[in-house]
Amino acid sequence: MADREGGWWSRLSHVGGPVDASGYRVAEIGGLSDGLWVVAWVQINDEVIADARFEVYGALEALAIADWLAARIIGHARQAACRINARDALDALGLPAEAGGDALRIEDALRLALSCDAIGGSYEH
Amino acid sequence: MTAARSRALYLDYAASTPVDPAVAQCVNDALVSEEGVANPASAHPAGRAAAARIEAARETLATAIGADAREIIWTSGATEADNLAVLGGARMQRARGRGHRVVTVATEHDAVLAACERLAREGFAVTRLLPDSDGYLAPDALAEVLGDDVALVSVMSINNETGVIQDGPALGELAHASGALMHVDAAQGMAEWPERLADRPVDLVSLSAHKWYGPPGVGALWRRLEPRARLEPVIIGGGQETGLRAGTPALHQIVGMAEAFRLGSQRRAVDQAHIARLRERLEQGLAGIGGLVRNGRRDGSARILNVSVAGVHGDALRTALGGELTVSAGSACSSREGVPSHVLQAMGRPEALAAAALRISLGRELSEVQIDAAVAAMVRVIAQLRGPSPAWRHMQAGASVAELYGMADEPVLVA
Repeated sequence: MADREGGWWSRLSHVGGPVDASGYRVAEIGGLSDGLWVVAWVQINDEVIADARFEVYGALEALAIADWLAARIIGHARQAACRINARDALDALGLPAEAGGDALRIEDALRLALSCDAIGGSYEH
Repeated sequence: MTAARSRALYLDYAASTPVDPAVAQCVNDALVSEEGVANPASAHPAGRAAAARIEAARETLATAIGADAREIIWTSGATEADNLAVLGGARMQRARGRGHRVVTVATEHDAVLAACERLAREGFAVTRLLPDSDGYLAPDALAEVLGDDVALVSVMSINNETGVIQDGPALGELAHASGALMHVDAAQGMAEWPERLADRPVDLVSLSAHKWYGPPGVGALWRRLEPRARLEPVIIGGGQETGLRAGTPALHQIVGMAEAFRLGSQRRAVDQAHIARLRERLEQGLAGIGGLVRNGRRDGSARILNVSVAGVHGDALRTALGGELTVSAGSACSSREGVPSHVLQAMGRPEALAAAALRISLGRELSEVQIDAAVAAMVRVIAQLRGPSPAWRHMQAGASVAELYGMADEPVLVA
């Protein structure tokens, strides 16, 4: 993220809740006292991710990871989305390893929203 | 004078002020002067000249603060002055059979709190009072814990993180009535302290140069001579400063501090009025943001505004603002540790709210245009970060700050 221009966090496309939440699945993890609070919103049409968004209370790295994750799964099958590894965002975005904890929790919120456990989409980190 | 050393607007004057150019010139002149080379403790003419410069500076500083020059002890800064006052004052009191307990406030600077911890390991009892949720220590709260076993009371004049001004006269009178020494950390205080120091009910006062446009690395402890506040030295190994602070004094810094205080005391009223106008403008600009918790009091120091931004993560806030504004989370001495301020937690702020604190501190060379720019940056960045925040969504839906952060009472907001 070091080479990003100032204010980049305001231009992320997939952070912030949906304008109209109808038809979205939602899952929530964390809270203020945890230092990270994530709400994952996904819209699935015919087992394909039509939209994914994240509300995030956390460090700027968490916003970047959530945005990266959403962009990677939109247009993909739900089962494929369940196999995504949020830690890949660290390399892709040039984030330090310390952001790994946030990445895993954001991924957890996403997997809950996608109901990954119900469709056998789990994998080993 | 240019306060900002980078493109970001410098709003961290409580951490350190820029050195006044006239002071910098004074420091430089002293550094390259003939007496600047010599050790003031030396008996040769150059040494005696250096000692004379230091004594002249002592007179200058004493005049600026309304004290006797013999009451000034040069130190390396307010931290050392705090250490000397608390450790040296309490130890001497105990040695003279005048108490074995120290009383302080949980919102003091670490220089005082750590010294109190050291005293506790030496067998002193330590009473740390909690202030009200606005950071104010009611004199009654001090009165309740005082007794003839109290050797020393230490309460700062203006809190370095919140700008809260304590009722120094009332607290000092209470301490004296119980027979205790009264120490005041006035590192932030001299810019707003027009009275003669000697007229206040205090015995020991810590001073800092770099908080008032002087050079870093020098400070002083004022100690009352009538009646004498006795001290045990903390730094030993030489007879300097009447045996109370060993070590070769830094002539150039001492001369710089004296000049900074001389200039500062001359322009104190003008600077205070200017900064008060800036502060009013800042508050008016920020009032529209909403959800800014005031960490302090409206009647505190105009130079320091501390707010917690509800609904926003502290790290994100400071990182996002960092390119435009140089502000801090709290004390510069501890903010690098990345832990929420002990001051705000002592005021009952939950960790998440304390972590989202911004200390904005103002200086005399700032302009209204710069304040407007700072407000605009804060309005924009806070809105950008609140946009995706679930916490802010809850607040917009009607949740109060207290509900969201699990507080018993709704905190006071900047409005």
